[in-house]
Amino acid sequence: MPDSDEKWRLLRELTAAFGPSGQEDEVRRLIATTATARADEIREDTLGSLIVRRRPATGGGRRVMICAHMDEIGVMTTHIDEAGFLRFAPVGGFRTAQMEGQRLRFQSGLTAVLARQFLEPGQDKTENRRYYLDTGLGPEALAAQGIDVGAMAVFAAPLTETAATVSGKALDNRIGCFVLLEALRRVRSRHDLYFVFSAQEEVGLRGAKTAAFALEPDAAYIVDTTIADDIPRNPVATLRLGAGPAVKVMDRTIVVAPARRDAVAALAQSAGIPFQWEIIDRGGTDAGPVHLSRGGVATAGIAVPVRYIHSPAETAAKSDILQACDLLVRCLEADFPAESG
Amino acid sequence: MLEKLSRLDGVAGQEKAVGEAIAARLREIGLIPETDRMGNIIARREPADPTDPAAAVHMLLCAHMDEVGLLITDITAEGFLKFSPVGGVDRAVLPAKRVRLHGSLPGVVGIKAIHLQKPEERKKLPEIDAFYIDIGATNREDAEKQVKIGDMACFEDSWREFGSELFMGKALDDRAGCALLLEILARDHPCRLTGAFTVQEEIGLRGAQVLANSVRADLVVVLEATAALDAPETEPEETVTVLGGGPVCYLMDAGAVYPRELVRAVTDCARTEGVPLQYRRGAAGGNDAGALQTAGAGLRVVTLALPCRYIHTMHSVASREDYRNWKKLILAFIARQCAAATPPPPGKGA
Repeated sequence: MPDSDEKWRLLRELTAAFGPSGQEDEVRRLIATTATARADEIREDTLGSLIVRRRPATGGGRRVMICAHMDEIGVMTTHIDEAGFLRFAPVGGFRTAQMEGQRLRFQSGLTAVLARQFLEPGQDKTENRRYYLDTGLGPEALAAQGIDVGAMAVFAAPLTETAATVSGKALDNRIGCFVLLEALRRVRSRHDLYFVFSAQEEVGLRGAKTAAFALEPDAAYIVDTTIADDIPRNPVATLRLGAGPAVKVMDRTIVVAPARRDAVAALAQSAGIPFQWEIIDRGGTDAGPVHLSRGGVATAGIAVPVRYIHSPAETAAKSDILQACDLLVRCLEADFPAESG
Repeated sequence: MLEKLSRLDGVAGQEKAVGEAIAARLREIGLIPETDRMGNIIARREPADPTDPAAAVHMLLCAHMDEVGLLITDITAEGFLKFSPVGGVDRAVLPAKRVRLHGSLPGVVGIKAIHLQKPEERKKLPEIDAFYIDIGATNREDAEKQVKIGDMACFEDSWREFGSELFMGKALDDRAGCALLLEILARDHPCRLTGAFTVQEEIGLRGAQVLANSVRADLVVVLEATAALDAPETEPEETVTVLGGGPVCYLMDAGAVYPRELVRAVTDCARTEGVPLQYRRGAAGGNDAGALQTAGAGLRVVTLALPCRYIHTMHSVASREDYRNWKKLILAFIARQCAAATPPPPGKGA
C-alpha cells in the first residue's frame, strides 16, 4: 500500500479533474492512466464510460461488473451576450439559486463567478434564468479560449484535508472511482472483473445502463456516495461520517435483494469492517438501470456517506473511504457473487 | 408532402393514416417499408456504390409520426365527450377550438360564453377535466352512434401559406421531420441509410425504445420540430430558438447530452455550407434521441430540428427558408460523415 500522502494525492487528482456529464474526457484519461498497470483490457464505450477488465489467473469465475460513475454535476453554457456574460442550464442536480457567489471553472482553466442579475421587486430569485456566469472576459476573448455555447463548467474547489476528513468538489463520485482503482490495485479474485467508470450518471443513470447491457454481468457492485445527514439538530440521523461504509438497502431506483445486501454485510462483519445501512428516499444510482439490465442482474451497493453533496465542499471521512476499499476487495474475493436472491 | 402529412390525423397510438401515407410514398421511391409491432415504419436504402468505403457506414435517421391530441374517456348523458390529453397539450389552447374524430367528424371544445362567466372565472383557466368536446349530438345515444370511448380527437387541420416565407399547420412536430426524411430517402447516398418513422414519441419515446432493440447504427440523426420562442419582449438569452435563424442543433435536453464532437461536426458542416445554424438554448424536453442513445450498448445521437412557433397547438408556424437550410445541412452532414468514412474503430458503436 502506498503511503498516506500518495493515496490522498490520487483522490486529489481525481476530484480536480474536469468531468461534467457528457464531457468526461479529462477524468476518463486520468483513470485510464492510473488503471493501466493492472488492466488486461481498457476500452471506452459509446456513451463515454471507461471499462477496465481484470481477468482471473484461472478460469471458472463469474463475470462481475463493478461500477462507479465518474461524471460530476455542473452547468452548460446556453448563451453568451455582448458583454461576455454567460447564461447556462444545470447539468444534473445543480441547485443554481443556492450557488450564488460560487466560483466555477471551465475545462480551459478559466474561472467564473455565478452571480444573480438585477431583479425587480417580486421577481423570483429561485429561477435558474435569473443567474449568469461572469468570467471577466468579453465574447471574443471567450471564443479564443474555446468557450462557446455548449461549453460546460464545474465547481472550482481544490480538495482540502484534515486528519480525518476530505472536502471538495466532485467527491460524488470520485470517491467511488478511487475505491474502484484501489480495489483494482489490490484485488486477487477468481472472477472476471469489469471495472466500469460510468458516464452520465448525474443526468439520468445513462452510462451504466448501456455498459451493463454490453457486459451482461452475472453480478454487479455499485460504488457511489450517499447523503450523510449527521448534521446539527437532526434527531433522526441515519448515515454518519466515520461510521463505516454504507451497505445499500434501498434508494429511489432499487430495492436490493436481501440475500445480496446481507452477503455484503456478512463479509464486512467477518472482516471487522464497521458498516451502516443505506436507505434513502431521494436520489437514484447506477444500481437502478444495472439491476434491470436484460434479464436482471444480482446487484449490491456500497456507498460512502458525504455531507453537503452536490456542493463545492462535499465532505467525507477518510476512514469510510478506506473501509469501503477493504469491503469491496472482500466482496470481489468472495466465492459467491452470482447467486441471485 | 409536408402539407399532405400535416393534414393527416395521427394522435400518439393511432398513427395509422400517417403511416399509410408514408408507406405509400416509400414504395413510390422504390423502397420497401417494413412495420414493426409498435407500428414504427422502417425503410432501408442501400449504398449507391457498394465498393465505396463509405458503404460500410450505417446511419439511422428518425422522425416521429405521432402528434398530441385528446383521448375520449366518457360520453355524458347530454352527448358531450369528456377527454384526457395525449402528450403535452396546453389546456390554454383548447377552449373553442375545432377538433375532429375519425379524420372527418367535426367537434368543438366547449367553453362557457364570456357573458356567463363570473368575474373570478374570467381570471382563471378551468382545469382540463372541466372541458368537453361538442360534436352536435342530441344525447348520449346519438353520440354513441358516432364515437366510442377510446377514440382519439385530433386538432383540426389548419394548413395554409402564411406571410411570404412561412407556413402554418397542425402537427408540424414532427410531420416536418417525416417529410424531410422522405426527401432524404428518395436520394442516393454513399452510406447505408435506415429511415425510421416512429410512433408514440409524444407519450414517452415509446416507438423509439422498441426500434432501438432491432436497429444498430454507427450514427443516429433525429429530425425534429422544436419550440421557437421569439415572441415580443423575450430577452435574447431566453429565446430558445427563432424562426428564420436556420436549423437547430441540440446540445442537451432532458433525455440526452449530445456528444460534443458531433455538435462540432454539425457546426463545421453548417459553416462550410454557408447554412445558418442555431443551438437550442435551454435543456427542457426530450425526444427519441434520449431513448436511442441509451438503448442496448448505446448509440451516438445528434438532433437537428426545424424551429417552430406555437408547437403542440393547432396553428404551428415554421419558415420555408429554415426548412430548405435544414435539408441542405442534413444532406451535407450525411455526405461529410461518408467522406470521413472509415467506420468507427472496433469496440465503438457496437
